[in-house]
Amino acid sequence: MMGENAAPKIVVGLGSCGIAAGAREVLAAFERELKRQGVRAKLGRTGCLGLCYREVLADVITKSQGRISYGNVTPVMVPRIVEQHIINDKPVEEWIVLGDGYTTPDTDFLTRQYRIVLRNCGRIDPEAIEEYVARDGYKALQKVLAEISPEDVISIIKESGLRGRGGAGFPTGLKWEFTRKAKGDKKYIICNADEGDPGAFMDRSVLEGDPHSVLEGVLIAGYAVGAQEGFIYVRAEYPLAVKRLKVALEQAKSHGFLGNNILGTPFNFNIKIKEGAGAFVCGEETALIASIEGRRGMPRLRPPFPATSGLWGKPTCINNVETFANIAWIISNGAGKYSAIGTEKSKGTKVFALTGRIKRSGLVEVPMGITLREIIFDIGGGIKDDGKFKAVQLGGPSGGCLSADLLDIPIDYETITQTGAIMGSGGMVVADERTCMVDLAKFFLSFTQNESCGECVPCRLGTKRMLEILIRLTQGKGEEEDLYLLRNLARDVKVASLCGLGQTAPNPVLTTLEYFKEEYEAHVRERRCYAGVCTDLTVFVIKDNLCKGCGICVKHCPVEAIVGKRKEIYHIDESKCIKCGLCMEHCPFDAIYRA
Amino acid sequence: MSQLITLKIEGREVTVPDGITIIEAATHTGIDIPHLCYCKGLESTGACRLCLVELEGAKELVVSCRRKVKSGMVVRTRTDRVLEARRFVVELILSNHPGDCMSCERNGTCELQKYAYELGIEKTRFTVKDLGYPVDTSNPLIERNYNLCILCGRCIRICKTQGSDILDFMQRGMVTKVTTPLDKPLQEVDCDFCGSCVAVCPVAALLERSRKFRGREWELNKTKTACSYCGCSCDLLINTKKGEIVKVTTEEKTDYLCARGRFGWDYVQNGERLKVPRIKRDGKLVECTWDEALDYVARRLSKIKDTHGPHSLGGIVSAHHTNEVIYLFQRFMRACLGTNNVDSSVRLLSYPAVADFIEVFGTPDVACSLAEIEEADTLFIVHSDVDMSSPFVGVEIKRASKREAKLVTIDPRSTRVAEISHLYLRLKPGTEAILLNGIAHCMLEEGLYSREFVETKCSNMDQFKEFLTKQARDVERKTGVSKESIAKAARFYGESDKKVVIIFSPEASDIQSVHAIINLLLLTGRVKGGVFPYMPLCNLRGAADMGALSEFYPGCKVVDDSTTRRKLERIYGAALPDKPGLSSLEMIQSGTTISGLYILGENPVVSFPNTTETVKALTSLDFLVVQDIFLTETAKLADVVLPGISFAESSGTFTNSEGKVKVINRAIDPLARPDWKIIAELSSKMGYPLDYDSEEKIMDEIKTLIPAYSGGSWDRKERYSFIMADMGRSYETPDSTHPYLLMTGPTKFDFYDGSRTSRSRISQLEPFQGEYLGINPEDAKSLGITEGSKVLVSSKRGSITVAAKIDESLPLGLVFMPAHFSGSNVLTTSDIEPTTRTRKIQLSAVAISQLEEVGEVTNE
Ligand SMILES: Cc1cc2nc3c(=O)[nH]c(=O)nc-3n(C[C@H](O)[C@H](O)[C@H](O)COP(=O)(O)O)c2cc1C
Ligand code: SF4
Ligand code: SF4
Ligand code: SF4
Ligand code: FES
Repeated sequence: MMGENAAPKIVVGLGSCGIAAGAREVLAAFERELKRQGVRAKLGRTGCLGLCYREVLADVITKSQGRISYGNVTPVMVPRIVEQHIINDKPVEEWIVLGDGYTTPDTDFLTRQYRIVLRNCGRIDPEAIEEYVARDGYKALQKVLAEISPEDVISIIKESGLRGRGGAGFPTGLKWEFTRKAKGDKKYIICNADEGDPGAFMDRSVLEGDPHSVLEGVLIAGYAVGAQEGFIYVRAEYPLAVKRLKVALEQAKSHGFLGNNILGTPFNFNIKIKEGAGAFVCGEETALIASIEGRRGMPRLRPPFPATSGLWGKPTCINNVETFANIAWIISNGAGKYSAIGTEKSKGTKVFALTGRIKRSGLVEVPMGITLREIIFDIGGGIKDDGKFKAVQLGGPSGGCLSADLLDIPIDYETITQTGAIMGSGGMVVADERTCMVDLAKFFLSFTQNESCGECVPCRLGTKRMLEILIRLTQGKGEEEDLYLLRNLARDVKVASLCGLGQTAPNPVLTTLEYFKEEYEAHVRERRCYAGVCTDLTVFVIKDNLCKGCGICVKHCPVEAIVGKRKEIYHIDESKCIKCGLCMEHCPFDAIYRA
Repeated sequence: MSQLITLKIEGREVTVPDGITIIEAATHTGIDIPHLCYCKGLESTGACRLCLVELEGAKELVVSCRRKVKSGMVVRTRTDRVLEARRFVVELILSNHPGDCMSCERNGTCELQKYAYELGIEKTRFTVKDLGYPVDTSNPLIERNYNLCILCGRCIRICKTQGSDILDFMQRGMVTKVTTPLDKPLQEVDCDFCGSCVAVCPVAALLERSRKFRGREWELNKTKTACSYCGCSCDLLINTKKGEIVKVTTEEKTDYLCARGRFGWDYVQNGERLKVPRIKRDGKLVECTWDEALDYVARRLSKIKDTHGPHSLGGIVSAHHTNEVIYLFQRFMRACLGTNNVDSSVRLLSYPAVADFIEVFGTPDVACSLAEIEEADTLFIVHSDVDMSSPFVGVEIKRASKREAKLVTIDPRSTRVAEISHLYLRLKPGTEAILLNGIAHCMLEEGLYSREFVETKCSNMDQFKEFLTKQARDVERKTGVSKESIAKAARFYGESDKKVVIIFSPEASDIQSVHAIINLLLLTGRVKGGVFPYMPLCNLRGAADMGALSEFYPGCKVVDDSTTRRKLERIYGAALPDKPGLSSLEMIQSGTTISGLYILGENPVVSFPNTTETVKALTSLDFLVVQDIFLTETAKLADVVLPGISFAESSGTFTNSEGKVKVINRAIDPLARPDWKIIAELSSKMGYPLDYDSEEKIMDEIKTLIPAYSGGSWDRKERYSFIMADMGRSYETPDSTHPYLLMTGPTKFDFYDGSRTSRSRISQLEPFQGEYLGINPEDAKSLGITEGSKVLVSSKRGSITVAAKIDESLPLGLVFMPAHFSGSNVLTTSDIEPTTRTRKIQLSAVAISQLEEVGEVTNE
């Protein structure tokens, strides 16, 4: 990357996560500092590298040291980095998170990954097409236009084994083939960038960090299926992604990669951006299409599938952002190289958004077939605060919650589906012992219930009735038959719902019922929430043998629920206690515990 | 036409047409698959999930209302899995349905209740939620209680296809609700009140207000009959309980009825109905016995006949009566009274079209069917208030447009139909004939006509060419329509391989535009199924067929045709007059030779032009007898009033716009005397007995006279002549004292002379009680008029005061007034066009001035 120019370069990670952590301030600090100290260096920006827990990330690239990344950078740290690293050529070792020749606790985070989709994220300036081109960008497009027939492009994608990354894992090549073969005077490509799963942000990171890789994928798809127009449906809550896409579209146009007679060939293709209003269900392909058409974003029954009757009734190929971001790499590196990665039926890599009670949260791209344990413990560094692993929720609110017994299953579509979870878009939320599984199921279900479009009965009413039961359980009002009813409802909603939203909404409930049955039973039979999350089911108890009678807890209790005398043992009056836990927090002798 | 395939449902082999859905196939075999969102006749969405079935080889249950059949398919509709899914769905719906079946109107026909029962769900395991939506009873016709709504979406879908497309879902998830734009009440969002939504609603969320607590579903008697308003004469079922009409429904839920058909029946049992005859004594109408009344009428008519001769008598019959009544009326007038002075609503509402059809084609039976409109490739719509006048035609047009038929609309007003048109020719008012001739000329020039047809079948092409060349001068300037648009229209019409139908209003058409329309048909050889005149009254076609025109005998035979006359004389046993009589308009004119007039069901004081003149003529008659169901404005002037019956009490037939003979069945006992019996008795009293023991006997006689009524067909001409006339303007030229042109016409809810609709709740839906002047916003502004302003409208005939209604669909200079209230005809002229002897002037010149607002606005 350094190349011709010998001046050092400072690159600040300006993805949404970086910005939220203060990347703009850090960038300004660098600017100020360089001026103040009179140093010549180039300042640049890049997207998200994936180490969210280390944001703000700033890279310093010098001739002698190569690329060195600093993590958790704040403006205060900037003068020292400039002085020590840039002027004196001595990197500030204790702040380094990555760098040639440095081993840090974060090294594993990146070295265990296999970056295809994220190949440029955090490495290039997403608003400079030259940097994309410099890393072989648009070579794949040139290649297909010059020497590969549309049918052969489809064959390559089929051979690569790439499956849709939007959730269902439908073979991408096959979808393209269906669209190509469907009859229609016009055809469309849609890039689904609605990314509605709470906790998922891989699509956003790709669009913010490497928008051209997506455009190139869309263009190749357009060429392959015989479309001339594409839409990128981005959620409006992603303003930075929208902005970078717009910049990318302009640049691609002026470089002749987009528009009429692309690269001097007869291929014409235009791309429009459509900002979605944010309903989760709008990510479902038929609802998304309705939304682009200006109708209410409601799913409709398939068949017909979009490939035969999609946007305005025309054959339409709709793929996810991540799916598209794989395309150019596959064309450039060959289907064989791609299909060499992964398992028998799930090829290539998958990006996961690793969050929750985990040490190193962030975006990771891993080869298919890797185990959950490797991701959570080797890459993610294990549970935060050295807690105990309890569960991992795969696939967001439509996914499932897996227990420790399943940590060693390999990640591929079929295996995950067998567990009752789904690959989904790649959300991975890690839970420790402090998480109540009933409450977690309630959390996810209340999300989907709230997002139900309301069209079909099972989803509209079924999820609501399920949620009511879960609420009862967490309030300690659940009865034995509620568990039975809940399981039946969950199964029926899954079977009978119209679209994917309803068909998957019960997954968190079904999997927690399966893997954490005792926890549900404790809520009903003992009226206890052992994780201490369901406040109606917890009691705070002062341990006689540890209480020193200091009375500090009394001062902190907002409702005067603690009774007793100084120097004697105090007690908590359960009838008054509001379970705020302030007493426990403040007891200097750890004499108060939750039961 | 489609291929047949065989599949297995519930173990039974069934052979059905390919392309249908599993649920339809099941219905074929008599298996009912439970369904709620699906409704026969509507596109389905697969939303309720009740119709799930098991398909051999499919992992998941499939939605049978959407899945198409395939040869060899094996379908199971009642497996445990299926039943569990269904129970689950119904139970869930019940959990959100705080309905109290006990006193629910839909008890017994509720589809949700039906499935709950069939699936054996006694009680839902969930607590039933009360949604707490207010019940909307703000309009007189439809009650909306969304607490009961199960969100099947049927109403939304049907409103799109046959209503005014004002319903949609609002919000998401649990709070989803069916709503109108901005959640306003129906009457504020241009609802057509067709009630289609009510008809398809599976539960009691949408109800006819009229039925509330007036009869359980199983107590209702349904009589199949046909609507007596517009010329579509749609099939309907009158639902009665113990002789009281409770509601009107249709055979299939999705069959269309407009507001008038579905809700406009309540005049029938209105308290103002006349039940006893009245005779004028000392200037006052007082009740009397039937014998008194009929003897008196017989005596007076005989006396006039004796002193002034038969041609001093005249009769006018309204075309909302049955063929049987109308036929008998003309027989009475011709054979008993001995005059051809018998005429009907046909004169003012459709005469030019009827006369032209008979002249050119030899038969009045030229219209295509309603279904053919829906199937057409292109529709030419001249006068686009069709959805007011004949709403069902409007629906067929909409359906055609959904099917991507091309619409070309010719109208000065940018109506709803104009708005969905591919080509909208907004011409200057009153220039239809010029524009149509211009289109024909353009077709000639561009060779867009059927040379073969014209050469082999038409006799006077050269003359026609000459005529058109003359007519085509200045078309652009005269009509205000650009040459390009005219050429486009010519191309649309000239596409020979397309099925094109011209839809026009015979009421609004002068003779010249009817000529022009017929010439277009001839130019392209579309002499069959190429035109649809929408009749503004249910039995206008029948009235002409029955001979209720002063120049035609039954069967549309001219009165000077001696063969027919001789045949009739034989049957009637009486000598018949051989000269055409007076037209209705001629009978009610000052200086008329008529001294005694018999009016059956017609209300000239309201429905004839120039009210002042009409009232003058009627009051100066020696004797006026009016037979009607209400004391109409005209009946009030009568010497004798004879109470007749409404369609709901009648048996007989109507002949609708399509030429279909619709059967009318008695749904309730007559409140007065059947009209045919009154005529027959009167005739007997005058020494000419008319002995029929039922309506059918009258029809038997009609059948012997008109072959088309007994399964035969009309004689048709084989060779045709273009028909030409240049008779100047059919509108009064505006000048500085009367600068605006007034158009009168139908509105959505009121009807014809208003005598029936004004006594129905539907008229409450008309703005300003249906008495207003529609005016373009700019004209209004320049006159200082705002919505609701009181304005004085005057013409050379008279003036009236009404409220102003701002109407953006009107062009500058054209104002509109509903035809059904007595005010509008105060302004119009009754000038007679000599060949057709109907009104000459369609549009009258008027002056408008704003009246000072004095206190409250009233509409007296
Ligand atoms: C409720 C629901 C939400 C969805 N949201 C998304 C989404 O945000 N992004 C996405 O790519 N696919 C989403 N999908 C999946 C899409 O319907 C579709 O399968 C996908 O865009 C196809 O792309 P792929 O073949 O590349 O996976 C969603 C599906 C459902 C049922
Ligand atoms: S009455 Fe007709 S127009 Fe009105 S909402 Fe119902 S379907 Fe629509
Ligand atoms: S009002 Fe009736 S027809 Fe409309 S959605 Fe509700 S239940 Fe269905
Ligand atoms: S369209 Fe005409 S015939 Fe049909 S219901 Fe309405 S008024 Fe009656
Ligand atoms: S009837 Fe088929 S899903 Fe509702």
